[in-house]
Order: sequence, then structure tokens, then C-alpha cells
Amino acid sequence: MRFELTDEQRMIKSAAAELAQGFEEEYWIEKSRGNEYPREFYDELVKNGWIGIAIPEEYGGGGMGMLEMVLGMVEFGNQGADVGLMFVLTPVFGGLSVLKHGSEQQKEELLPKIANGDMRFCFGITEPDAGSNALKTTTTAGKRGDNYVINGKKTLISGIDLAQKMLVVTRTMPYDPKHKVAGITLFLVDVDSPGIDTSELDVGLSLLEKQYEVFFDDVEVPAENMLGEEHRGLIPLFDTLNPERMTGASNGVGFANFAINKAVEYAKMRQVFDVPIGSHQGIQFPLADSRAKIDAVELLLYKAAYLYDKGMPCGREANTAKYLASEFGFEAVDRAVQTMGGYGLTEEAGLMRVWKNIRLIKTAPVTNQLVLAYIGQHVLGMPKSY
Amino acid sequence: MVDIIVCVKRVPDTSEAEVIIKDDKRAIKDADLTFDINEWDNYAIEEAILKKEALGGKVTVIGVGGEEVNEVLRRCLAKGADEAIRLTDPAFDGSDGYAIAKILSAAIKDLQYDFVFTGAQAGDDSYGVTGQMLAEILGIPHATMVTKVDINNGTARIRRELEGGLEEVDEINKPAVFCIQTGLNEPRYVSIMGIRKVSKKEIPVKAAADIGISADEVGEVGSMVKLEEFSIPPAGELAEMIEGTPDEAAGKLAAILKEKGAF
Ligand SMILES: Cc1cc2nc3c(=O)[nH]c(=O)nc-3n(C[C@H](O)[C@H](O)[C@H](O)COP(=O)(O)OP(=O)(O)OC[C@H]3O[C@@H](n4cnc5c(N)ncnc54)[C@H](O)[C@@H]3O)c2cc1C
Repeated sequence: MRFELTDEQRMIKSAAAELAQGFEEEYWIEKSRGNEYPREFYDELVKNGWIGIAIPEEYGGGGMGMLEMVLGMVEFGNQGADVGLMFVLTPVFGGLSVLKHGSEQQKEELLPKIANGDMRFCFGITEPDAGSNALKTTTTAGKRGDNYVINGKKTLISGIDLAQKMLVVTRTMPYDPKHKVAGITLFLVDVDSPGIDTSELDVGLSLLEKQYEVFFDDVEVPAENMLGEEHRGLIPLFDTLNPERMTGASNGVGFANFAINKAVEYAKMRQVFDVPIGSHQGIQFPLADSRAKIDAVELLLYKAAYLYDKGMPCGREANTAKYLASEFGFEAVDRAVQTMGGYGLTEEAGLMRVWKNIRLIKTAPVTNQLVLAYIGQHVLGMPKSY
Repeated sequence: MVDIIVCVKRVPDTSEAEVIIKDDKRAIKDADLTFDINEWDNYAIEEAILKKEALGGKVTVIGVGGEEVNEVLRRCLAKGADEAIRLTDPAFDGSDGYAIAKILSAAIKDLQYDFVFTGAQAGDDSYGVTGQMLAEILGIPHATMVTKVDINNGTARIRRELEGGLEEVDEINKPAVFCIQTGLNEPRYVSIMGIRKVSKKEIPVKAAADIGISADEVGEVGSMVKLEEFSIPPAGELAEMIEGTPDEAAGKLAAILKEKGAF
């Protein structure tokens, strides 16, 4: 068992830190306050190869793995850069899905564009009546000649305004309680296809990517835009879940580190009675407790990514990391806010945007209850709870 | 075509860290500090790469120190430098700016180059002398506080920052040493593609004997500055905030300065 990073991995971390430090904290606070997309930062991510980091070199990517993506993401988060959705949407739902399940033609066409920033992705699974239970998807794709025609509605779709393609989860066979998993099919859909309409949702977080309702009205998609096989879309879908969980966990660990560091600095300096508040156990121990928890999660996260890159089972580690990173991470950020007193609740202190956004990781892309259901059933071998 | 050598130093980032002096008073505790390329050198390497990209040629980076310096050298390679050399020897320990200049010159004199770039100073000891001394030892001209470099047919037209906001423009023929000031370009970030390219690249190492320098010319014995001890300046008296409109504040300030004998 080796815990030290390679030279390459150390460089990844320092490159991420340097890039993040090129953007002042004020930049993120302003963007989050104005609900404005941090384009300048995203452009630098693309230009410096981060979006294509896990795409093989033959398709124009960096040829690295999930471990490197995760190391970079954690470091971005450590510096307060909000990269959670940036990595899950295009590199994971776009890049990894196509890489693992795309046809050779799809890979040749899409991967280089993903790596060079020309093609961004959004992901459409959630529907008003199908969230945690994706099998209940009612968006349909019916065959018409060489095309499929999609009809239905998705909700809470992040970043369709920034994307060129959407990975859409549809049903090509009606829901059959006896064969629930059959009949799901994935499509790579151009977001400007005729028949797609969107309407912005008001989500009370200061997220950088906006959320939309997306309506499909007879949207024609060529059959070659199917990802994976017809009716068997659950296979590519489930395959991206582990990396998706790891990106969520990375975001949580990074933000928690950022918040803990900020709170510690403040606690060492701020004097309320005659000594710095950091010398009171009531302030110090919760932060120490969070430090211990996040250190443990960070290790588990790297293990999950390591296993994924080796092609080994990693569902247990990925799910546990996402669960603990969001629970302990939220707790850590909340404690950091508490450490900073009333100032902690101002935007200027820099924690409110983090506090709101880390809350999201408990719910999306998958809720923590569903993660526990996975651990109960697949790790502990207990009866299916739903 | 232009061949440029850039000398880079690895320094601790003390901008926000708490600096603690070791018991022997001759060093600071660095176990908890993060290290990186000296800020001035980061501009120097960027300038060299920009020149190479525009004119063709080669950029070589040189660092002095143990294996930990490789990280800084690799970063330069990842950004676009072509070669790196690490100079290391137990005898080099404790070298001041002068001894470092001797070490660098010993390595550089055998290399092919048109120009040498150094940072104008290092963020840790802030001596700001190494580049000039290096030029003297090599017997070639130098310019300090360089804020612009244009190279044309082996002649460099450079701009220097002077006191009081003045600037000076000079033309200097190759070979020459330029001590680069911050802010003359926008250093690029290290990219994933760059990292991929260099992570397995071996960085050649040269010891004192390899560059033909003897142990008594370097390290503490070969230095002109003897470091006695570090100390942290005592915190000053409470600062006085001058309030009022700009006119009133200026008046009060003038009165204070007069009282203290400033004019
Ligand atoms: C800001 C934001 C961005 C999002 N972006 C996207 C996006 O880009 N694309 C996309 O497709 N979706 C997106 N979503 C949707 C998100 O993935 C879903 O909200 C999430 O999967 C939960 O689904 P739901 O909202 O339908 O909740 P429901 O499935 O209705 O669940 C409600 C509650 O019941 C619990 N629950 C349900 N079943 C069980 C059970 N068996 N046992 C225990 N508890 C259970 C859930 O955990 C949850 O707490 C986004 C959501 C948000 C808030």
C-alpha cells in the first residue's frame, strides 16, 4: 500500500492550486452573488486541459485517470473554486459516458470536442415524477424511420444554457413492473434540436449553473446518437454513477478544507474575551473533529478513484465517500460559519456560497438516503429497502 | 532563434504563513510551509518561453538544490522550457547570493546561450544580487529590474524600472543577463498536457566537480555574507489613523511630519 503521490500527481495538485489562485476569492463571491457563470475560469480549465483530463491522448485529452481528476478537483475546492458541476457535467456525463459506452464513431466525433471545449454537456434524468427512481422515467423515445422521436419533460437540469449536448434518459419500452430495468435508452441529443424548449427554475442556491425545466416535443434524434444499446441504457447509466459520486465527494472534501482553513485562521486571530476564540474548546474541538473526519474521507475518495482507474469494483468506496463528504463536509462548513460568528453569515466572509452549495451534495446528483440504500443492500447484503 | 537560460529558485511561500525561527536562529521552520517557484523567476521563465515561441530557439532552466527543486524545474518544463539542469552538492549548502552566482556561472559558462534571465530578486532572502554577480563573473553585461524585452537579431531592446517612476530603455547585445521584474507578462498556468509531457523526464544533475568548481569557493566558506541570525521585528506602536476629509487629513499629516522633524 503506497500513500505518497507520484511526481505527476503532485504537479497536478500544484497546477490546480496555481490556477485557482489566479482568481481572487472576490471573483467567486461576485459570480455567486450575481448568479453569473465564471466563464473566465472555465475557459482556463479548458485551455489547460482539465476538462479533457481523463480522455485518452488519442482523442485529444490528457490521458490521465479519475484519480488525477479527483486530486485536481479537491485542490480547486481547497482554494475555494466552485468546480463541482463543471466536472460532473462535461467530463463525467459527457466524457466518461462516451469513452466507456460510445461507438468508435461517437468517440472520434465527440471526445476531441469535449477535450478542446467546443462541446459541453448537460444531463437529463430527473423528471417531476422520476427522481430517485429513474426507472419511472416517462420521457419516451419512439422509432420513426432511421430516427427516434423523444417526447416528455425533464426538470432540474443544470447548465443546458451552456451546453451543446444533453445525455437524455428515455424509455423505449413502457415500464413493466416485472422487468423494471428493461426499456431504458440513452441518447446524445443536440440541445438546439427543434422541439426542445426550456424554462428557467428558481433554485434558492447560489449555484453557478442555472437549473431548467426541459420540454421535448417530437424531438427527432438520429439512431446513431444512441449511447449504448437500445432498451439497455441502464448499463451505461450505472457505469457513470461511481465517477459521478467521486466528483460530488471531491467537491465536498475541497469545500470542507477551504472552510476549515478559513475558520482556523479566523479563530486564531479573533479575540472576544481576552484570548483568541480558537483557544476555547467550544470553538477548537468541532473544527478538530471536522479535520479528522475530512482527512478520513479524503483518503477513501482517493481509494475509490484508484480502484476505478484499475478497473476494480469501487461502488462501496465511491458511495461511502460521497455520503461522508457531503455529511461531514456540510457539518464542517456549518461549523466554520459558526466559528466566524455573525460575520460568518455575510457574503463577504466567503462561506455562505460554500455553505449553500455543499448542501446540494447531500441531495444531488443522488440523495444520501439512496446512497445508504445502496450500502445496506450491496455492501451489507440486507434486503432491498425500496 | 534565441537560446535563453533561466535561473530559478524554489522558495517558501511566507506571504500568509506564520514565520517561526528555528532554535539556532539561522533558519526558519519550513516543515509546514508550501514551496514554489520564486515569483520573479516565474515571470522570467514566461518571458523566455514567449521569446522562444516567437523566435524559435531553446529555453534551459537551471536550479540549485536538492531533489525537491525538481518540482520547480518540472513546472518550467511543463510550461514549455526544453531542458532543465539541477546543480546539487553538499558543498553548496549555506551559499549566499555570491556563491550561488559562482555556482551558476560555472555551469553556464559551458553552455550555448544568447541571454540569461534571472528574477530581479528572490522572495525569501530578498538579496537581489545574484543576477548581477552572475553577469560579472561571466564577464557579460546585465540589466536589472527589466520590465520589457524585445529581441531582434541578437540585440535586445529592454526597458528598466528606475526610482521615482522613471523608466530607461537600453539596447544590449548578446550575450547578456537580464534580471526580470514582476508584471512584464502574464505567466501561463501549468497545463495537463504539459504535465503529461514532462512527468517522466529525467532531470540531469551536476555536482561541484562536474562543473569544475571547488568546495572552498562555495557554501559558507565561499560566501561574502555571513548569516548571523534571523529575528522578527518587534511589533510597532499602535498606528494612528488620521481621520477627516482629504484636505483635513493632509493638513494633520503635514503637521505630524513637521513635528517629528521630517522637513
Ligand atoms: C441544484 C440542482 C441541480 C440538479 N441538476 C440536475 C441535472 O443536471 N440533471 C438531472 O437529471 N437532475 C438534476 N437534479 C435533480 C436531482 O438529481 C434530484 O433532485 C435527486 O436525484 C432527487 O430526486 P427528487 O428530487 O425527485 O427526489 P425524490 O426522488 O422525490 O425523493 C424525495 C425524498 O425521498 C427520499 N426517498 C425516495 N425514495 C426513498 C427510499 N426508497 N428510501 C429512503 N428515502 C427515499 C429521497 O432521498 C428524498 O429525500 C438537480 C437537483 C438540484 C437541486
